Amino acid sequence: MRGFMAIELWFFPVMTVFLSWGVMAFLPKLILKTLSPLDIIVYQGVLFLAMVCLVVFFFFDGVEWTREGALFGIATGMMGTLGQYFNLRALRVGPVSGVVLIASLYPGVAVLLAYLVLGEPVTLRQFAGFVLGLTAIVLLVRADDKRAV
Amino acid sequence: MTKEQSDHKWVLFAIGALLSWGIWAFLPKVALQSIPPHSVLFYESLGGFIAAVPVFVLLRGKVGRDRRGISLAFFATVLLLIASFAFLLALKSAPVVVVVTITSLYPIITLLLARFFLKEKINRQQILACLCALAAIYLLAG
Repeated sequence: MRGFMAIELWFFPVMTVFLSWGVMAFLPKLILKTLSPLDIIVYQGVLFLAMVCLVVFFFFDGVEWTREGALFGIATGMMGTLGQYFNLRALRVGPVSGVVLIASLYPGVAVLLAYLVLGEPVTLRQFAGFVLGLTAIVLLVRADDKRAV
Repeated sequence: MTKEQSDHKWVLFAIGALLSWGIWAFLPKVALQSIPPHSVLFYESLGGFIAAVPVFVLLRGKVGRDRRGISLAFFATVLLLIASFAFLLALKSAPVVVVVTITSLYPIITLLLARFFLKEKINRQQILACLCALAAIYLLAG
């Protein structure tokens, strides 16, 4: 019962991200027909900030501030955009399959950092799930590469 | 630039994306230790805006103005907002290994959407990938 309750807490938001990103992955194909990748970064930067401001100030009591929270929060946004920029630069000169394969292994970096910096333990079951997840990503990228050929 | 140099360059950029996104997926966990998800979301969007400024300068202010493209970018940003908030809520109550691994399996959804809406065929390797992904979700959710 305790395990079921623990799943309840995070499973819905995780599945929301899973589904939203899945639909989002469809959209660039359409957007890139009329806007450049750099245009998208600019529009996304402006629109995302505007929407978040509206949501935060209408549905919450403003923004809380701690130096650590603000710095790491801002760094998160900058890293996301920097990753997007590096990915686009890599795609301009490199093969799509190779770039996507390398970049999609980012969960490995995140899990390693969580272990090294926060000391977040990884159980054998979670490690097996993590390896299977990475295997699924590699298989998907390779399958997409074959279809492109 | 020789072909060899060019090859070397894309690997470096791809590794840059790998590291940036790896750090991007990890950093909110630290921020969430002192402020709630909606506040982290605000600072994250501020960081994204700050990073977009040099790109705007690089483009010399000449940003594409196609209405359809902007409308789709708007819709994509709405989804980004939903996903980002849900990502922070999940990170608040679950380990990084669980949240980041399951959410990174989103291409499965794209694959299924392409199958049902575009009638694209799914090959054996993709079926195997789906099975691995489901097994991964089962193990991580347990």
